Amino acid sequence: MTGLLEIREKLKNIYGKYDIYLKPLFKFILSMCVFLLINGNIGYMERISKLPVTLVFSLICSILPVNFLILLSGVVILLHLYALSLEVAVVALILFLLMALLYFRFAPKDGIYAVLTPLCLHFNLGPVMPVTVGLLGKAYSVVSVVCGTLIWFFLNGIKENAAALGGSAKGASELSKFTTALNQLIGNKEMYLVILSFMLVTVMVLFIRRLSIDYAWTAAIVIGALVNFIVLFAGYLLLGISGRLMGLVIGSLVSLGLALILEFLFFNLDYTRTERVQFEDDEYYYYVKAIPKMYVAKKEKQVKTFSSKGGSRAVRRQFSDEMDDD
Amino acid sequence: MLNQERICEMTRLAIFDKEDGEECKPMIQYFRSDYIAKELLKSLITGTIAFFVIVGIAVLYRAEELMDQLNSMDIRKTLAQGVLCYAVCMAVYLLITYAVYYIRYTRGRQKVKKYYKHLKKVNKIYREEEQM
Repeated sequence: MTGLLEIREKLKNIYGKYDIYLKPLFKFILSMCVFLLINGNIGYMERISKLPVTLVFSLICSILPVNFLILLSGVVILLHLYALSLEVAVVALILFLLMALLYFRFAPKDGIYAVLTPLCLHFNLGPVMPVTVGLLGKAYSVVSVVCGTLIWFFLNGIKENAAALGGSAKGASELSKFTTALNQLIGNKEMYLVILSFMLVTVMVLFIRRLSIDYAWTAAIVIGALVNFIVLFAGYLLLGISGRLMGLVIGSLVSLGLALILEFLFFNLDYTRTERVQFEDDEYYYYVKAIPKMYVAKKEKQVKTFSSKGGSRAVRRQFSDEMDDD
Repeated sequence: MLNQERICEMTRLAIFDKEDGEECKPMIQYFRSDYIAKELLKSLITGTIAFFVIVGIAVLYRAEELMDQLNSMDIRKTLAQGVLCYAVCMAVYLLITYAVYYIRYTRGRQKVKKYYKHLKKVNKIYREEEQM
């Protein structure tokens, strides 16, 4: 365990030292994942689905604030949906507009959860998000997870009904396309179930991690994953949705593992970063790099060799002198 | 001669400026009531737009049903229900806005107070430097 903690400290040190390079790198990887997933699943507009375009978008996102990724991915989604059908794009635009007006006006920093949730849901790792929000975020951040869930189910529905919604679908009126697109949101019982489960999990995790008990974080994670499993399992049985059990079991187990890794990385650990600031007084310009103090000492190993043959007395004397010095 | 203590304090101020400066700006510029009123006004506008967008979608979603019932519909009653619904939604939304920004102002003021404390310290050091 000590070794693991040391690795954690090393990771923290590395992050504190090189965050200026690591942050853009993380953002680049995240942006690549987001754009590749969007293009791979709903890439109806070929021009922006190509890899060079994705690379350029990801590079731009890596140097700009995270919220720009949200904006750009929203625009890319709208363009793809527009290539499929105007009605679907309008519904998506309305959905994004409502989210921006009603929620992200209050908490613009929470947008990242709305991007990460569809990513996790796509890989069947849904529970990771509510647990993460419960552990690291505020209670109201669950709204952004709900927004991400809405987006994923909407886009998934569109992907599954692409043939009926596409421009080549003859006989389908504009109104029916509009209604079909909206039905992906309004008539999707599984989506309501997942949202309910996520809200419950977040509340439970938040409540348990604040209790003053031993291993509060671990207990919160395990109970959160269990609640999610039970609610979804019961919900699938009640709604008669079949074929999800295997995915649910594997997804829950992997999510549990991921959440435990998160606990390891973030529990009681402040990733204070190196700060670079500029200011001036009457005489000087100051370019200050403030590095946070790392207070956990690294393991210090001292190997003393005691030779059995000759000279041992001298070594012992030297050693005792050193002890006296300490 | 560089005064290390002053540079430390000034660095702290600069870090605060960089991290929380933008967020805490309104707490210096406005009184609590003005700040909350400004945000309530913003919420009124965004909430109204959102409400009408939702109503628009609902109408389109149920367009066929509505067309069938158009002749038998009591327009006045429907309108009254619509206004009531709008009032309730806005009341809830504005209440949430009030609570959120009330808390945010309180926390922001606390941060600003801390900032002023450091600022005073820098001023004090400056005065001491001048006297020397």
